[in-house]
Amino acid sequence: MKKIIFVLLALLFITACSTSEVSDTQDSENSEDTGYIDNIDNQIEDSDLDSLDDDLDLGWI
Amino acid sequence: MKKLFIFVVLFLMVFSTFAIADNDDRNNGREDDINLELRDKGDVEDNGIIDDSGDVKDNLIVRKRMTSRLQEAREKLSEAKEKYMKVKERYAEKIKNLEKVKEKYGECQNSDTEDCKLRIKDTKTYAKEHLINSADLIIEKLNELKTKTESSEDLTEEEANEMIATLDEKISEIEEAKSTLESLNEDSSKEEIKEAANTIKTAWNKINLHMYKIRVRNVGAMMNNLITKAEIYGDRIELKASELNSDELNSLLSDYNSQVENARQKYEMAKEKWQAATTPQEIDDARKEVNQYLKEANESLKQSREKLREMISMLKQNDSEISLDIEEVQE
Repeated sequence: MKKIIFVLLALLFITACSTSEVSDTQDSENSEDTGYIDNIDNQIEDSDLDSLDDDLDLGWI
Repeated sequence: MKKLFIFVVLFLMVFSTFAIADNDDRNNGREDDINLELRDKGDVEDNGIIDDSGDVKDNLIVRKRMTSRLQEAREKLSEAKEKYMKVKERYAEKIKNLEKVKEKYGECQNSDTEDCKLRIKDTKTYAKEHLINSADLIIEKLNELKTKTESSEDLTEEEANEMIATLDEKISEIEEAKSTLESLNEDSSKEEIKEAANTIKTAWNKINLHMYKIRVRNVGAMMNNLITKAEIYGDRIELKASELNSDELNSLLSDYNSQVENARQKYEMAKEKWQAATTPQEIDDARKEVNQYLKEANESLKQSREKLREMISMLKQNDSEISLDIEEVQE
């Protein structure tokens, strides 16, 4: 019984690892499958740090 | 009975993860009803990419970079993303506090009370911390882009090396600016703090434009490979179309080729613009046009894909087909 549980837990671990690997490579594979770049706006323009310019303005001191 | 219950629970857990993995794989962009599938490698002969002389046509091959460094970078990419997100979260928390500090500092500007003197000193310490956090955030953003560039298959080794060198240079610049912040303390003058903030801000504005160019070059490399693949499909359909002699198929093929040609033209126009832009000012000036050309090229690729679906359906109706496998040479 213990052996079965051990084998099942090992399988659980392996499949969990393979699931995360699939999601990691998903971005790069999408454009290959669709034939064009799906989210081109986000890939060209990164608005993530747009507010940094204002944040670095310490003229108020 | 208890053992049986444990066994059933574990069995369900294991098989539920199998189902998740399988589902992710199936949903991995494979939504096309005609199942357009690009495999990493294929049998050269089966792919129909051998010309009459028996040689592999060079233009029918999409070159892909595959080095040990690339493999290593792919593994590090999620780590770099995670690290950046953590630094960003910490930064977002601190910036909320900065707003409160700024408000209280304003109230103390015309007051000589001991409490206000202390508050002004605290504000300077807080400003220093904020500037260091900002520098760390920029460094992690650069590191994330560096890992993304290292893990790109679409760039050539030379392009990747050049872009990585630029990113390393920018990381050094911001680290140097960060080191000047270390000398700031609660006794530093307002001017010293403002100057330090200005140094980081100026560096960031320039770096941001270099980062944009690197993102564009990554997107461009990906697009170039997609256009090359679209051109290969066009050549293969043309061969089949000459056998079938269908006006409808020929008309679709003509539209398809026009779309792919347009994508190629717009891509080349964008490339010419971004290659010519080297200084931050030139990059900023070219930005609007580069974005426009790349978006137009992408739209043409999208429309050509629709035509490709229609042509493949038509070929199937006529008991014909083309191979969608593309030989990808790993450099």
